[in-house]
Amino acid sequence: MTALRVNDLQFAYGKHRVLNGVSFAVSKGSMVFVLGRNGAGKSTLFKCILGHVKKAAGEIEIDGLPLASYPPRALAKKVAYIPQAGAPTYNYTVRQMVTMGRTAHLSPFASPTAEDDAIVTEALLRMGISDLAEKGYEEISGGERQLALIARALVQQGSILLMDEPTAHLDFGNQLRVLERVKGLTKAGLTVLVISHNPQHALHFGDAVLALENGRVRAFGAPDEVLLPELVRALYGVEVTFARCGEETVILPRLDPSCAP
Amino acid sequence: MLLLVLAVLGCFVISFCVGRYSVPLPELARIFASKVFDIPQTWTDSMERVAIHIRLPRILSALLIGAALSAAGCVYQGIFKNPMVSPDVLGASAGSCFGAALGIMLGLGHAGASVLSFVTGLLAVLLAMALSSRFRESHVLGMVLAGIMIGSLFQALTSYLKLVADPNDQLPAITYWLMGSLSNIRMGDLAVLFPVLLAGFVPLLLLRWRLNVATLGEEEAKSLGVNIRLLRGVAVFCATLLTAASVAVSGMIGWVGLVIPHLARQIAGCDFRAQLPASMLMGGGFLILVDDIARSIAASELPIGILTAFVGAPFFLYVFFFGKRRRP
Repeated sequence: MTALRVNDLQFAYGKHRVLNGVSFAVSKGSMVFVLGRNGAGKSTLFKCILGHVKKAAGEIEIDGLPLASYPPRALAKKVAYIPQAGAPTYNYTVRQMVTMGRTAHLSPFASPTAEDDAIVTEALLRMGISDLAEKGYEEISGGERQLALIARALVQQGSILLMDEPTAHLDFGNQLRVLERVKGLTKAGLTVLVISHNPQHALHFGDAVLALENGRVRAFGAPDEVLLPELVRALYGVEVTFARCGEETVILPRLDPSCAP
Repeated sequence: MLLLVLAVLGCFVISFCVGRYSVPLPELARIFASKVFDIPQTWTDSMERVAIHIRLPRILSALLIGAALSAAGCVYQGIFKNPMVSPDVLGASAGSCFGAALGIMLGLGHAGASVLSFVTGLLAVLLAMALSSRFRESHVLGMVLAGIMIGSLFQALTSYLKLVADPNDQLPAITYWLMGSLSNIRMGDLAVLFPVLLAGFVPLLLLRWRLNVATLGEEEAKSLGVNIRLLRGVAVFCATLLTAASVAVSGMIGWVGLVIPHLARQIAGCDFRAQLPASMLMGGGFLILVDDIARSIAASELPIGILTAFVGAPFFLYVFFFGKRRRP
């Protein structure tokens, strides 16, 4: 079943073309890594899917219905956005932060109810951060913040998660732990699109790779089919070696191209 | 929260007793009881006059204006994602001051000056918001910049009015008004002030949960399903209504709207569901206390605007340097 279909998407900031005929379809429950250089159009693609930018030409379909048919609140119940975990202006508790994900389910003048609290408690448990619930968002680590933001997206109860570089600012171990959690969510039927700068993560966790280059789709498909040394070289301009290590493939960047492994 | 309500009630009652002319607490109770029950008079007529006609409107207005300025500050700080913002960031106070000065120059009297002040205060913010909609990139930055520009424009106009004002009567009147005082407020003013403030308080209290989401910024709020521009517009309008109405009645009373929300966050946390009511209560209580000091500290009354800064500035420094460590 197709959760998200994008067809011939075009978008320009003024005269600067950012997206130029982007098409792809994502099936339900898969984890798609969006790769590409800075400025390739990854974030703009997300903004289009979230309805933040107007005047994008082309078609976006979510669960078979065009994007325009979703009013903002209905869209927020379908698609949840997980930003990079930055420092907040105000020191909300983790529980308060996560509860904000319920806003789309509340009428404008309403405050969260006991039912919402129960949903939040469950999401905290699912992300393994129950014991942080009453801690200040300022006092927890970057990895924990990222988990809190994922929990916030879960309580939105959408079916598609868009993650903007969830592993930026995270240490080596936390990067993998956060992605493992996210991978677990796709098993429960959630569809996840992840903007990433690490092709290794795509190879390891991805069900599909969407490689963008100058606003066009350079490659789209299963990681072991499209994520090849040529693609990495073309996208990032670095030489790499793909080494087999048991069942896994490891991407090794080579600073000195003359040095063959 | 209950403690806070009790503390404010305490301030409210005690404030009837303090001042140049002191009224003992038992007498005070009897004066109010006599309005309902028929009891023999054990107090002097002047006690009754002081309590009912002078102190009651004053204390009520301190409570309302303190609450209004604090609520406005609290909302502005959230909406603009900046804890250093005060209710006059969009030029509401500057606009109101200009209107009042103009009213005094034109000889409109206290009521006329208040109305004109309220109108120009709103006008200033509407101008700022209209200008800010021209900024395409960052809505918040546009609002703040436009507010600063409009604010300084009105400040310049006020300075010009002071320059050309009659130095014998108009200039002192303008100067005193700008310093802020609650001493000229009568019950009649309150009857007008109260519904206006209510119109500002009610939508903000209803929207208090959504205000949390507004502090996350435009993109995140949108992705959570909130119409952020509408929410911001309504919140800013209500907060401006509160500020302009307060300044129109009492003159410039600075610092309350900046300092009290900080204190409220320390006690009640960031969640607007608690922060907003806490701010209102603390602002009301704080202004009642400061007004008590204003009328009892010296033989002639001190303008309350001066005192709030006297108390507010050191307090703000204290919070700034020592507060962060104690955050929950």
